[in-house]
Amino acid sequence: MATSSPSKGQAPGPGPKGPRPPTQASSHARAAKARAEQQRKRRNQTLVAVVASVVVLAVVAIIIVVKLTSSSGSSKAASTVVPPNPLADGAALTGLADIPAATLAEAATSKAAAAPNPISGQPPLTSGGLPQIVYVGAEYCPYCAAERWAVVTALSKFGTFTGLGETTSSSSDLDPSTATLSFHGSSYSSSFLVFSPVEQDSNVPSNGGYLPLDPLSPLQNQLITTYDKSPYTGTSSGSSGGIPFIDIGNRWIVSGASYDPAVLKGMNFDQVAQAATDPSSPAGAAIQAAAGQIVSDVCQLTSGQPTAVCGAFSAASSG
Amino acid sequence: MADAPTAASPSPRLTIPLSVGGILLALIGLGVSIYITIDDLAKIPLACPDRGFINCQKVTHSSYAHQHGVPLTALGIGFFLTMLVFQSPWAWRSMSRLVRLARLALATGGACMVLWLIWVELFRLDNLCLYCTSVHVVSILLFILTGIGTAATSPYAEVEPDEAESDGSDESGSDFDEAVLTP
Repeated sequence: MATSSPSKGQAPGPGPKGPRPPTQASSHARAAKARAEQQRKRRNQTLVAVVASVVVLAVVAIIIVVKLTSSSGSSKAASTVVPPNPLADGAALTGLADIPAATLAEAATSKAAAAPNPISGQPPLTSGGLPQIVYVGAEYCPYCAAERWAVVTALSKFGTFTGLGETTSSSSDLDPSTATLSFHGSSYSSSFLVFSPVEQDSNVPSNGGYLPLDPLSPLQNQLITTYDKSPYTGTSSGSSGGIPFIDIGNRWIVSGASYDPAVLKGMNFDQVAQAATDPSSPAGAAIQAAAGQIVSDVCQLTSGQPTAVCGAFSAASSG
Repeated sequence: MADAPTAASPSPRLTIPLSVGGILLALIGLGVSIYITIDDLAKIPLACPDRGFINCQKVTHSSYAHQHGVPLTALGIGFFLTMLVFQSPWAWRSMSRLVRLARLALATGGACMVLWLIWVELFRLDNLCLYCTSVHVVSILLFILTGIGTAATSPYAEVEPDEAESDGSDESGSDFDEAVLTP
C-alpha cells in the first residue's frame, strides 16, 4: 500500500537493513490485508458455528416447553375417570373355557411358552384354606395383555369368571393395542382356589403414565416386593417389579409374559379368542401352552382337583 | 522467488483440547449405545425405571427403535465409532477438506437425528429414556464442539511477507480455496 511504502527520494528509514524495497513493503501490506480478511472470515465462521449451536439448543428447549405446555393443558382437559371396558363377549369366554383339558395338557409339554418358575421353601399362599393365586398387572401393559388370555383359559378350568372386560394394551407401547381381557371389575368364584387379580393402571395415557385403576392390597404389595425379583422370577437380571406378576400359591412365579405378545399382532379380540381355541395357530399354540402350564401347577395345589381337569394332566405326565 | 503459500496444521493448543473433548464425548456415547444394544439383544431389561414418564424399556422397544429394519442403537454405535476417528488428533490436524466437511456433516446429522428422537420420545411415545437422553446430550455437545472447532481451526497458510507477492496463492497444494496468513 502507498501509505506504508517509502517513495523514491525519501530518506532511508531506521533499522539495520535500511530502507525496504517497495516490493517488500507492498508485500507486507498485502499480507496484512489478507490476514485481516482471513481473520474476518474465521470470525464469521465461528459466529455461524455459535449461532448453529444456539439454534439447536433453542429447538430442544422449544420442544420441551411445547411438551410441558401441552401436557399441563391436556391434563387439565383430560378426564380423570377411566371409561369402563365393555364386557367381554360371552361366547368368546365360553370358547376359552371349553378348550379340552387334554388339549391343554398336551400343549403344556410344548415349547410354545415359558413355564412358571418354581420356588421352594416359601410359606404356602392360601386364603380361607384354599390355595391362592395372585395376579398383578396393568391394562396398558402388552405382556399382561398376552398373559391374561392364558390365565383366563387356565383358571376357567377351576371356576367361573364374571365381569371380565374387553380392552387393549397401550397404543404407544411395544406390541401396541394388543387385544385382551381385563380383570378390573371382574370376580372369580371357585371351590378349588382363590384368585386375587389387580390391574393397577388403565390404558388411558395421563401425564406420561396411565390413569390408575386399582391399588395393590397389602398382600399383593408384599408378594410383588418379595418375589418379583431374582432368584424367584428365574431370571438373572437385577430388575424387579416387572408385570405381569403371578404368584401361584407361593410355589410358582410368573414375571413377564409366558410368550411373545407379537403372536397376537394385528388381531382383534374375537380373532384372538378364536385363535386361542386352535392349537395349530401360533397364537393358539402359545396361549394353550401357557394355560396348560398354569393348570398343571394349579392341579398340584388343589391335590388333583377337579379330577376331570387334572386327570388329563396326570395321564399326560404318566403317558 | 517465493514459494506458494503452504497449508499449515492448526496449533496443537487448539487441536489437543478439541480432540480430548471429542474423544471423551464419543467414548461416552459409544459406551451407552453398546450397553443399550447388548441389553436389547440379550433381552435384559435396562437398569432404568419401567413405569411412569421415565421408561427406557418402552422407548427402546418401541416401533421407532428400528428404522427400515436397522436398530437405532446400531446406528448410534456406528455414529460414535466414526466420530471417534474424526475426533482423533490426526483428524483435527488434518487439512483435508474432505475430513473436515465429513466430520461437520456427521455431527450435524447426529444433531438433527437427536432433535427428531427427542420429538418422538416426548410427542409420540410420551416417555423418556435416560440412556437415550444421555446419548442425545453427548451428540449435541459433539455438534457444538465440532462446529466451533471446525471454525477455530479453519485452514491457513504460512506466508512470509515477500511470498505475498506470489500470484500462486490460490494454486497452493492445499485442499482449500483460501489461504490464511499466519501472524
